[in-house]
Amino acid sequence: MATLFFNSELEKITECRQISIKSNTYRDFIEEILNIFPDLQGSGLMEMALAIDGEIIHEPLLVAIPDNSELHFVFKISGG
Amino acid sequence: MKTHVTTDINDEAVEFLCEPQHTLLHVLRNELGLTGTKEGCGSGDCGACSVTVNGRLVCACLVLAVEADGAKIGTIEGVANRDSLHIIQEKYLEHAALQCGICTPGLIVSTQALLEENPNPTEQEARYFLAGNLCRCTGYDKIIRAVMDAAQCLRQGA
Amino acid sequence: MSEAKQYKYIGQRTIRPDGFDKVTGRANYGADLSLPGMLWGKVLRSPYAHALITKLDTSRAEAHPDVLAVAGFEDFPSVNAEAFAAGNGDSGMLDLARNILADKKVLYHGHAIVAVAARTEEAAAQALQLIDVEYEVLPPVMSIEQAIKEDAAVLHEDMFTQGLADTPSAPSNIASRMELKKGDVAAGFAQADIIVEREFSTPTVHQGYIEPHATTVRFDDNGPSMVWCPTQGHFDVRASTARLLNMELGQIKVVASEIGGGFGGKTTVYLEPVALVLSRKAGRPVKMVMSRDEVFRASGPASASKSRIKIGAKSDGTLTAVEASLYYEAGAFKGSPMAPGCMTVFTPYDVENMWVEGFDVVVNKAKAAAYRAPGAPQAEFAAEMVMNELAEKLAMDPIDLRLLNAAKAGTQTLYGPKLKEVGLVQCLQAAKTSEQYQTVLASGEGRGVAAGFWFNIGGQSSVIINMNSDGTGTILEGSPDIGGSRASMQMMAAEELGIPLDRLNPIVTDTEHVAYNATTGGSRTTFATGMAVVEACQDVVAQLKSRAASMWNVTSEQVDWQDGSAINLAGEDVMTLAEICAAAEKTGGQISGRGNINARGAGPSFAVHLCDVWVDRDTGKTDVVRYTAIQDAGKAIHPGYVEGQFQGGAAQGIGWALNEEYIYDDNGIMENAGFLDYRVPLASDLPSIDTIIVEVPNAFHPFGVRGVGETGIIPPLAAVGTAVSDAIGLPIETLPCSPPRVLKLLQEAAK
Repeated sequence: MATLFFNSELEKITECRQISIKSNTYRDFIEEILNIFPDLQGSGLMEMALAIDGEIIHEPLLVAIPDNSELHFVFKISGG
Repeated sequence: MKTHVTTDINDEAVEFLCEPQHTLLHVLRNELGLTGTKEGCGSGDCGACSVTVNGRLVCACLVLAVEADGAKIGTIEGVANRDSLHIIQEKYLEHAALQCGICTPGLIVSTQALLEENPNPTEQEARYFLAGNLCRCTGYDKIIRAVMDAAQCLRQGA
Repeated sequence: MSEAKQYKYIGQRTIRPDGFDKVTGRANYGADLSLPGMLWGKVLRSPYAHALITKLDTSRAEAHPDVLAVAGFEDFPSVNAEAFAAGNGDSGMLDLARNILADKKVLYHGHAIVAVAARTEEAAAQALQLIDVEYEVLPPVMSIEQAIKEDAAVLHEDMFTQGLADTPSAPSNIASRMELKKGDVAAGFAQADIIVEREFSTPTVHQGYIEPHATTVRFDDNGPSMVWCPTQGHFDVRASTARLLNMELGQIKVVASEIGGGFGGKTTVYLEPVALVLSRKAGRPVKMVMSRDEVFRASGPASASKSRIKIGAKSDGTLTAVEASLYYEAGAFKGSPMAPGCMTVFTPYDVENMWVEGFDVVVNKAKAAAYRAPGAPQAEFAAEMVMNELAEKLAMDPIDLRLLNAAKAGTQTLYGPKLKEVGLVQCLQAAKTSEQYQTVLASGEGRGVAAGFWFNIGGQSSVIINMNSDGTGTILEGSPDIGGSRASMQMMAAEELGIPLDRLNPIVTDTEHVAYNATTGGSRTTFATGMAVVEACQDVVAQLKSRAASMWNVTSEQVDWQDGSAINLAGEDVMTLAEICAAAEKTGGQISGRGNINARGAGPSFAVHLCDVWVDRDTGKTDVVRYTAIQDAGKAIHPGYVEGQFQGGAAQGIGWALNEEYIYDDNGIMENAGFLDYRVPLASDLPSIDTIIVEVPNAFHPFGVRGVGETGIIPPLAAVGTAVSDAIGLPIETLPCSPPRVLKLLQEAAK
């Protein structure tokens, strides 16, 4: 089980701060949370980066979700 | 009506035709292919187009091309001796005194003018002499170190 | 890993491979290319800050005998408002198109309207005079205060604030609002023994690259059209240009010239798509070069900001709650760096209760572009000023206050994840023991300390290494080299392959010779493209081992690679890289390695700066007398160019703090659009900038690299602001601390 934390913008939709995640791939994980929170569909979630235990991954499509990991959706950063 | 100009650039005789309103910078870059002299502002504020005219350091964007007639012009292309760099150029590289490099030709021409006029400048003198050459990348620290090091080498005849 | 390993090249101060060309004037920058038959393009720009275009007639210009083409917004057929309103397409691309050629409305003084191409520069300039435009002038909206007023003139009738709880019914100049929180700030402030709250503002500033935007293009029906330009990302120039002209990526080849500074300002396009339209229409190559005036008015600027910061602490200095409201000017189109501002503002500190809101506000100024750690300097300036005021009120050393609350591995950030290993504590400790911090201030001097945080990014990089039969090789990379990155690529490859530096030639190639590379920005190049170089080297080594194995008639597993040579573990043979390459013809042809990656695991870089100033109380002029920049590089590949990044960031930040600002008249026209009046720091304005490189390795990079390019511009704003405040004994709330402003503060205080 991993733990997903929502930032305050996403929390407005989910109305909860964190949930436990059963999935162990990103694809399953997205499906899992969209099942729980269908309103996240239009939230731009898929355009956000995913941080797994502090490592920010801009294109997480193919990543594995390790057990006991902490997950955060993060706004993508560009830079100068 | 174009004007015929006979001049000397980096110790070579050069002739060109120019419009009366054209600057020396325009002719160097667009007519003579000497693009080492850069244009950063066109108003004499940035020093990227620093060249010497009869030994005097000027911004080529503020000199009319017709003024080159009969003069001796020095540009960045004349600083190195074929493939061997001038000590100033070597010191800029050794001290990592350039990042993007757009201001570098102008700064090297200005540094050469500084050290010809004052072979033993203080750091403050170097900073004030080079105040006409903007560099946005380096914060000048490494440039000044390169200049002081080059000055010392030149004094020692290295 | 890194700390245990002794490197041969990494960490050395090598001579950069592109150095000879750059000190001799041989290197070609954006404006240096001319093509046979080339036309000159020029742009007609708005004389008003805000106006509707009621009539636009180019027929007299088109009739000019030397004019061969005219281009306007309608020449971007694939982007139009109707399609976007219907939900088809990316509104960012529509804004980009409207920014580079106005669509019925001009939104800032200098906004491009139409472009012409003519046989000479003079003819192009004359033709602009022949274009008939009539305007209905609208009131200019020139500040955040004006823009957010209920009755403000609205820039975009179709812009409704996003991110509000209730969907707004009226258009607004606030493009969006965002909010980040953790813990309970009300409870946190209730626990505080002391609370400091203050409002700040920072001005519109420009990146100030010395090289103006320029491009030379040649449209070609029979092959790829060519675009030559100075850019931080030629692959993204190609993508934007292709999108606007409705072309395929393969129909455009972009060659990145040398780039004369960017700092974020050359991550977008202004001229390239326009020039290509002109070239297509005229059937001739077209060159366009911005004047310095155009650069100031119509490119770049970094967002002005307004902010409110509130910090609560226990009497021992432990922070209990922090709160910020941050407003950023986006310029004429939405998209200020408000989000990274909100995400960075308090990241240097480990605080349980945090709350931040941000607003992206449009005004009648040029569309803001990225500038080195976009959004962070404005936000962290405000937060660091309050931290210093708090330290003063608690009678604490400002470094001790920061050490007590410093973010470290495991700190829960406001923007999401917990931090991995970071070097803020090490930077603070190095600051405390630095020569400058031990120096006692002279009379009339003031001191400021400030920290800074930036994320750094990874992203896509592609590298190919081609080996030659004599063991030399070329490194083909696609990341434009703004500050010496070719040197670091060469060093990393030499280290990895175990061959001398001069055997490897790093080349920043065009969009045709390597696959996509993300734009040079976000401090990503040495990190991400460096990883691609390492991966390409590993590919080369694997092939070298396999070729050696086939020469020795053993398996690849029986071959080891050490110091540039293959070693036969089944015997005693050794073959050098050059020997294997020389034999490559017999073992399957020459060797080529490839590294195509989407790098992740970028390591944040923290910095701490110290600034000592002396203020002339008669004139208000501030002299920076001592300055030290301390920053975590993870691992410095080339220490000279790492120090250069620290120093350059510091100098730009000092300029932002002391002098730089756009000054507008009542009509929204910039009054100081030149380097004489927009004063960037000169050599005579600055002291030596001392540097301390801290190295806390980034575990995700083979050599431990964190990016270093951006963080250095963040701390100077508050370090300088605090030093000035300390010197004059008055609070500083507004940047820049220019002589007139400081003098006014002194005079008002004397009353």
